[in-house]
Amino acid sequence: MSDLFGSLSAVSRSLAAQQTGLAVAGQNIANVNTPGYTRRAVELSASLPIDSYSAGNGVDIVGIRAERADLIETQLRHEMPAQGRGAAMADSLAQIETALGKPGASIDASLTQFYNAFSQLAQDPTSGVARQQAIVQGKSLASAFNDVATRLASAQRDADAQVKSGIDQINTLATQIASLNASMAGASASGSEALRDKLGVALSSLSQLIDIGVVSRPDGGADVSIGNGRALVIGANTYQVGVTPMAGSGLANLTSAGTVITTEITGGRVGGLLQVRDTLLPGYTTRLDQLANGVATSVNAAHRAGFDLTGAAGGDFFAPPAAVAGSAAAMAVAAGVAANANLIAAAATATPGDNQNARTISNLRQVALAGGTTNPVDTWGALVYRVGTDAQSATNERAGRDEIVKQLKTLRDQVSGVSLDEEAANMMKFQRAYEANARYFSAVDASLNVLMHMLGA
Amino acid sequence: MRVVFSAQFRQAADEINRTAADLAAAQRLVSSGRRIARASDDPAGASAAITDHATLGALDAYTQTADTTTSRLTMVDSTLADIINKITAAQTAVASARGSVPNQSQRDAAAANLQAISDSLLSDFNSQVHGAYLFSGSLATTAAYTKGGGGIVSAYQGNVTTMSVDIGQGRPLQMTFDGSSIAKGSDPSDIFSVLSTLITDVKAGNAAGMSTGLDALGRALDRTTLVQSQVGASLKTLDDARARLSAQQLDTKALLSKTEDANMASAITQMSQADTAYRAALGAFSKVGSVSLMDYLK
Repeated sequence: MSDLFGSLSAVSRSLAAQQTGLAVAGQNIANVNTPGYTRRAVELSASLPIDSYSAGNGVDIVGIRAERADLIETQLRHEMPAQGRGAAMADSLAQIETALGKPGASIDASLTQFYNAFSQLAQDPTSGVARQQAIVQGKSLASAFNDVATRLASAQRDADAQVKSGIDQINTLATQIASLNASMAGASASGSEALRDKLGVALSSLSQLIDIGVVSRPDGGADVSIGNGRALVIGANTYQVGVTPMAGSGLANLTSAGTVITTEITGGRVGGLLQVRDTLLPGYTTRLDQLANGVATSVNAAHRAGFDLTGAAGGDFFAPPAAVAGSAAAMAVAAGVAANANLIAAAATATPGDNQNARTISNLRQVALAGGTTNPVDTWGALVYRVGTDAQSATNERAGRDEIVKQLKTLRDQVSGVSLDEEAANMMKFQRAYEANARYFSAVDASLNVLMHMLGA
Repeated sequence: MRVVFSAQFRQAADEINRTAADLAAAQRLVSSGRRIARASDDPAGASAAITDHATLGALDAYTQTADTTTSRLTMVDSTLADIINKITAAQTAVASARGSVPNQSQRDAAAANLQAISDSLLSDFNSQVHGAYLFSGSLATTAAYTKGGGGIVSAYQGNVTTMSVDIGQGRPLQMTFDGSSIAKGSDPSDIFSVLSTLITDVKAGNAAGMSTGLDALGRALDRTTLVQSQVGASLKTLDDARARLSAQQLDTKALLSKTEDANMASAITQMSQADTAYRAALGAFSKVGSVSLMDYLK
């Protein structure tokens, strides 16, 4: 059976419990805008009675619990790398699309004007103006190929710079996570929850950058791996991602403990950038080089089969490409032709004034390139189509992943987020409870006074 | 379902971003009038537009070639007409010198007339456009015939290869001519030799020689008339080609417009809808968190 002094002790604990409830509501409200903050809830439990005649000993504070949605957090960490990858690819490909120019105002237009120049030359094969025009359009075509090749190379360098920047961020976050792991090892329960919030933010940022594997530690920390299970963070230790220059290109190769892991990274912003840098852009560049090489080779072959205005056999119109790779960047009108328009081989025979070779070169616009099935303009159209579909796919992928991540965040917030209405209700609840407990305290105190008065105290 | 403060704001901000992006896209569509700003807007459309632009470029080149060739062939046609007139005049001059009626002085006058006709024909056969000879085959820089010492006209200096230009894909059209096929053909002598011999025969009153010469002139006239009719056919072909090219250009432009150009009525409606959605998103944002239970706790 409880006595009055025991009641005073119980009500004292109860007042403390309500005060804690108020403090938790205040903490939740204070952190309503804190990224990664998980709302807290005070856990109360009725204190057990000391015997069967006792009403009980008031209330005990069991603890302060963080309302975590662990399953949804895990799903988010699975989706965010794909979102990051889609965003990085969409951004990079938008830049590449711009580099290719608009239909009718890029390499396709230069090709048309080049072949048209030879069509005009065919009408007047001895005209100095028509010959000069063919050189001008040849230079313009070469310049258009050079420009696009330069832009593609620039886009590759940009992607590489972003990869390096991403690796720096990954290493910084890895250090941060390791530090949080170390802090958690010796933290109190309440302190650990705050550290877990920070850990959640760091893991979320990391999963945007790269696909990660996370294994929770018993103390609430996390071990993180990347690629094919390569350790990034184990407890308080980090295994930083290294960057070494790729042989030949000088692009960044990613390493872990001395092993090259570039091809293992497929997700996150870094994965998307690597896909653009190492697969898509080289593919586009190869197609551009094949087109430039095909155009230069076919024009040169026709030009060599003809005769110039002096009756001499024609040479190369374009500087002959050394290899397919690099043809677009190196394309140029042959120095001899550029310096002397009379060297344009417009004639099919060694008779000055003939136009048949100029016709042949003009009609190359309709001829499939060597090793292909499409003419030059359609080959360019196919490249633009490929870039367009890749960019469209990346944009759609980003939009889809954005929506999934948005939904998951909403679901997570429904569990872990702070509702101001709810906190206001909690404030009122704990305030009223505190008031009631205080009144009970007064009642017990009054009862004790009566008792003391009877004893003459 | 718990509705939380941060999620409300995040969703409202996302909606503002989305509707603002939609509005910007709709405004771009209306202001540019172009449906395809970048390849990813419609990859297949962009690729088709590239082909259409190239087709238009080629059609422009063919049209320009057709126009230039028309001018050239019109000149060839008038030159051939002049040659016909001159051969006819030569026939008339020879005919006037035949028989016993003309006296020596009249025959000398006819011979002088033939010499003038020969000089004029030489000029016709050496006609040029932009410095290129029309009747020298593919030797556009070489005169078809030249006059040497003693007034003797040379043999044909050109070649039998004619030059063509393209007035459409796989549609070549001859633009230069083999002068010897007109002046000589399968005859043993060209028209200048015939006229030279005729001058001698007319002066001498050689009736048999004049008769042979008249036959040769008749065959030269036939050959010239044949080439002129071929040129006339080519000019008709060019007229048809220009009409066809013009129709093809219109068709290709229509096709290109369907691929590239925005449907303005639809685009403006779309912009209006996007504007409304954007305003609604802004309005909705202003309401987020504007009322909470806090307001009612005193």
